[in-house]
Amino acid sequence: MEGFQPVVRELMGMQPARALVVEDQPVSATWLADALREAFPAITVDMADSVTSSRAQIALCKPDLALVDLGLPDGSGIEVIQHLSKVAPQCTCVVSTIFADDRHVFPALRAGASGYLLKDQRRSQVIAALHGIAAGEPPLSPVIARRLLRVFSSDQKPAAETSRLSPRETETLALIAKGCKLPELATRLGVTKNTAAEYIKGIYHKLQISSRAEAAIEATRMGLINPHM
Amino acid sequence: MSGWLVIAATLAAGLAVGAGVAVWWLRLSHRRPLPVVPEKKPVPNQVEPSPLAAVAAERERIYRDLHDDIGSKLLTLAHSTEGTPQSEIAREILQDLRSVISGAHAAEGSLLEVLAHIQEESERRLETAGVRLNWVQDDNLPDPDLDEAKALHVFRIVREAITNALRHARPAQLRIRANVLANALIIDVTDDSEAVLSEERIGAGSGTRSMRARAEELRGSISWDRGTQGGTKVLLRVPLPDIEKPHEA
Repeated sequence: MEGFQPVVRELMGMQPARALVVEDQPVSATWLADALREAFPAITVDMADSVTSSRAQIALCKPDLALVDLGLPDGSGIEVIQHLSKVAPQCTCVVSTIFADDRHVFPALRAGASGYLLKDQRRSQVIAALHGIAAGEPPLSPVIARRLLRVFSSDQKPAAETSRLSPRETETLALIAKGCKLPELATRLGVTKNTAAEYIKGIYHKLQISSRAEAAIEATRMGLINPHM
Repeated sequence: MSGWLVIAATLAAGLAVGAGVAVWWLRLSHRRPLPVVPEKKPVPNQVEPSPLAAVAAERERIYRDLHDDIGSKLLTLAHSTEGTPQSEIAREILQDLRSVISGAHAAEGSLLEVLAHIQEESERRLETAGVRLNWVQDDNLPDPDLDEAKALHVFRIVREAITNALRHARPAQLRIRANVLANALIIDVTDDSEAVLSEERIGAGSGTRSMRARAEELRGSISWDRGTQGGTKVLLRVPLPDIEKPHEA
């Protein structure tokens, strides 16, 4: 982890200046705010503890980074992410969760999140993850890559050109599914880390526009095939 | 210390719920067909409102309760005790809770999906314990669908092997290799510790007993040996369903 930071610094186009933490548990909200300040010493952190209060804060503070909990007292964090994507598309949205599986992550990615954070990790791990997200490195998870491969391989609609993976993207997912991290992924694809990161973002974006993906997510969430699909 | 009381109470509650869910899952796994992505063909009338829908809804409810109640309390505990041993314990319980849930979900799908789950969960657990994971998996493994009960057994055996390595040895690194040979899944878990391969490690502990029982149910085998470069090596062999054609490079 020591060798990681200089590389990140070098890659980082900009440091986020203003962050919003949307979290209803006060202790966790404070903990996340502290982690943010440690990761980005110059940052200003604002807080919101509900969907409603987050809207006011977004309008007032114009965050460029938002950490959003999914289970809020008056609704889902997905609504917050959707709202942010609409009114503040330049803001980097990150889901902060204790369950980073496809049930949580796919809907968030579809709503416009560009990453997720496991908030029960140690502070040093959370800070490293925050640096990665700020540097434009999308999160990589073998399980999510595997699920994505399944979702896209089941997409047989010939018309849905925009929601099909290119051979390169399929190769990328297969490598992530085998546990490749970004540096190794880039080496094995023969591209720079930035390019590899772009492939992944492209795949996540296709998830947003693939209706078949939506269907598969729904089926996965319910644990069964929805007969009305 | 009231902190410890809270931890103990939460642990007890978490384990009770976790055990209940695990048992329930094992029972379920014999009944549920593998989830498949729906075909485009509209066949609404062939699918009657199935009891599976009710089961799935109930499972979602339990999942949500675990997440919202126990998960967020443990997280609060981990964060409010930051920097103390209690914080680490709360994190470990949270990992266990996640394993119970994701272990259940890991039992969905093909061999490669299950391996991806095992890898991800192992990495998170080891990362929390400050141990490096060296995951070695051949590029061209076949990808047969796995029976859910079988997948869950494999998941739990690897999980227990890691628990034992963390408990009895102080490894800096753990290597997990997954391969398919002669139509059998071979997984070995090897730590690099100096700890001697003791009776305690492979003997009558309840962990190792349940690993043997699971291996037996899989009609496979499990053994404990000294690793070629020191440490302890747990070797699991599980016969796979007939594979017609392995993926080519």
